[in-house]
Amino acid sequence: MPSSSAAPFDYSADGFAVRDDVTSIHRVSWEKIARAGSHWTGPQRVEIARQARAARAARNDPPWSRDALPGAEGRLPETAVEAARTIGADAHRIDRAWAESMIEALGDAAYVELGSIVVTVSALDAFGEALGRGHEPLPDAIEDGTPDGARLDAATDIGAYIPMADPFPGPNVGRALSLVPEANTLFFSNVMAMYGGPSGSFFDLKWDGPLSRPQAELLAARVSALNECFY
Amino acid sequence: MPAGEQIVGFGEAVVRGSEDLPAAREALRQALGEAGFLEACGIAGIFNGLVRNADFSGIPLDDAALHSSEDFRDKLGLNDFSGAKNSDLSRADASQAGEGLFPQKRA
Repeated sequence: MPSSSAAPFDYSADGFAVRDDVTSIHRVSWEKIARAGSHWTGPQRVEIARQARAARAARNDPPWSRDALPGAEGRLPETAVEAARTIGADAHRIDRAWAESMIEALGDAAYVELGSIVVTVSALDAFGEALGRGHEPLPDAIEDGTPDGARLDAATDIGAYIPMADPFPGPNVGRALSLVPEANTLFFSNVMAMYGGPSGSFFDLKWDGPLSRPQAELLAARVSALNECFY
Repeated sequence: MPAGEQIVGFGEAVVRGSEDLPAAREALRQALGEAGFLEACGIAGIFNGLVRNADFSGIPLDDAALHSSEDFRDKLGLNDFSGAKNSDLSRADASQAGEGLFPQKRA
């Protein structure tokens, strides 16, 4: 378990020499999740994170036996709870019909923002598990603040479930959340810090880590295959 | 590949959350050193987010990935994954495979 330090993600207090830029972006991510985003309030965003974390922790159980998952107690629409849990635990089972039903109920931008929180929490939780440190307690929600409704009006249909920027000046997957700029920043700031090395950059396709590129890609490919991810 | 066995074992243990994880963690640390171990934790962590990101958004493969992966996707069973339906695999042409799929080592 993490130390009881006042600052979240105090890796050094737990004996891990995690790079400062990685620690910093993890802390910023928690601060952002706690606040109102573009389409969800702070309390809703923290609840999305809580539902996703609980569902992912139960990912090895069959869906019909996950009756111990916490209820949202009115903090989220039931559709949002289902979306957070499914992306957290069963993303590989998502198909167009399911995604479209969620988008119809939530709206495309709210679906994107919800997903960005789930994937960020999943990544940071998996990082903690990999280290052997466990999960950072979720942030306390900031009650004040109103979602700003921001979305990229120029996003277009590229054949995905949701509109995306096109053209996009970087790796293709980097535009997956581009419909909601804040959501894109939340997750891909972590991608840039955790995948590419201390002076590398995911977006300009440079690599500079202590692992060789084949070693890094072997690990990435194994993790992706076990998650049954085609992409 | 140096430490290939430990890298694969670590990735599997992290994804599955298995009881093997402490041993896999230690084996990787021994093989890669602390900096390499921490880098591997970052990659294992962020790919648990990236896979979900691709799956919930339904983003199709770009042309570079579509063409470059044609000769091994089916062999590895990747075309059987649910997300394969998000890309038009009939357009794949291995003869158009090129560079630019993954981050390159900085010179």
